Amino acid sequence: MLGVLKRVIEFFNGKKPLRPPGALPEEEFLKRCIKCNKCAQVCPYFSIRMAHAEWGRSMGTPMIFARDIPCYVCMKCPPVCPTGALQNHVVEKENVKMGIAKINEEKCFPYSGIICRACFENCPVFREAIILEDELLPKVVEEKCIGCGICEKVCPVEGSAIIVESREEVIV
Amino acid sequence: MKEKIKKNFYRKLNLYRKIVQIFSLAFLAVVPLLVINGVYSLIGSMYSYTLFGIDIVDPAMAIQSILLSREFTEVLLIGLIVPVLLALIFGKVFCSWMCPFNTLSEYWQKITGKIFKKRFRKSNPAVESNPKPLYYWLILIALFVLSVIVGFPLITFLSAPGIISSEISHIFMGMGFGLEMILILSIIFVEGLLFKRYWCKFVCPVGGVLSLFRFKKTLKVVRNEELCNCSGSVKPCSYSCPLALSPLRKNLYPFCYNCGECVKICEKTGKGALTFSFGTEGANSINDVSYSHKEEKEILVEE
Repeated sequence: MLGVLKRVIEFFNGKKPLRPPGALPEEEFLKRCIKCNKCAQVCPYFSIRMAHAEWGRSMGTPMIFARDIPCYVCMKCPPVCPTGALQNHVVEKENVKMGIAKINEEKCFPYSGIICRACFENCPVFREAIILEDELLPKVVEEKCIGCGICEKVCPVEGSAIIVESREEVIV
Repeated sequence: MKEKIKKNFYRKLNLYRKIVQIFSLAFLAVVPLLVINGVYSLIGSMYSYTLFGIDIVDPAMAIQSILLSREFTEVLLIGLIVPVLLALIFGKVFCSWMCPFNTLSEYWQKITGKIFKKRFRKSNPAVESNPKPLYYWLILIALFVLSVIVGFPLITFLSAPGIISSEISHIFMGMGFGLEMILILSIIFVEGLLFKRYWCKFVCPVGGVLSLFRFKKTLKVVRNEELCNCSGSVKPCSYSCPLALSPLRKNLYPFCYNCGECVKICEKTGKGALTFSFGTEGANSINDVSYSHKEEKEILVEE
């Protein structure tokens, strides 16, 4: 039944959420999160949204929809978590691993000859997570990518040519 | 004279309680409003608050989190200090003074009580005995055991104050309205119509865990049998209790949340047989009241 619900949700909003920076692996995260809202309230960009009942087991847990508002890795949320669902010691953005950006080369402008450096220039791990091959084609360095979703947000292609895949799929 | 002071005291105590209730309801909206305007000194929901750097965690949530993760976090343990101390000294006053679920159902019950006057009197169990505490503990233990077995924070979903406060925060922060809030509101609605408070009396894990923290000198309602002389089948004290408990009968303990309605009404209509007391019955205040009653009688005889 939950599987059906999940498909319905995916059909309607077509978004795959990320967990906030410093989140534990999904199962462990769900066990710990007490839905206190502090991470969402402390977020200055309103990136973190709390899930409602339609998310099933993940109801009330924090989520980030990168295409709406990505995480700007200000790292204010991990220290406020009372249960350590967001590991309190993660305070440097380089240690974050929310997901990995994937470039859809069919859609991406530079791959079809149009100059565009939106994702490269906005990446918070500048010149490390997204590099330009031949000073033109963006490439994601998976070890360095933190999965904040800023590239997904700034991509001018409709539906975004670069999409951050969550490290682990959110359990519904 | 002394009695008059006491009368005012319990009436005032109840007035303060109502003010605090309204304030804590307003506080739920104040927190997200401040957050929107960039003030981050008050954050959280009733699951866990951070107030000017002081962490407060709902003990039920803390126990659940420790059971599920088998790990202690610093914030969690520090956050326990305030609520546990409050519960140890004053009993379950969180429920009666702060819980938004209780505030809403108390007021809704007053409204329905005025609409269905006859039914209210009929179903108010002045003659019934209090429910057995065994069920209360069994349900509480079952909830915790179940959440450990399933590996899923069940307690969080059953915390009515937490859900109400976080939903209010969601609304102010533009995250919309969830099904869970509608469920909680419908529970309040139905309970008000039935004049029963099943949720607070049996299900609520927040109150259940709070009632665990208790020792000899915890504040409680104490009855002086000599002064208790209301006639008639409907006793004012059990009639006034929002949880429909009877202070005249045993098994008051895990259910009573020290709201003080019965004490207030006893001072008003009776002879002050019910009082709040730290510790056991032989408190000085009760003796004082009985003494003043004797004096009054003597004066009457003389006249």
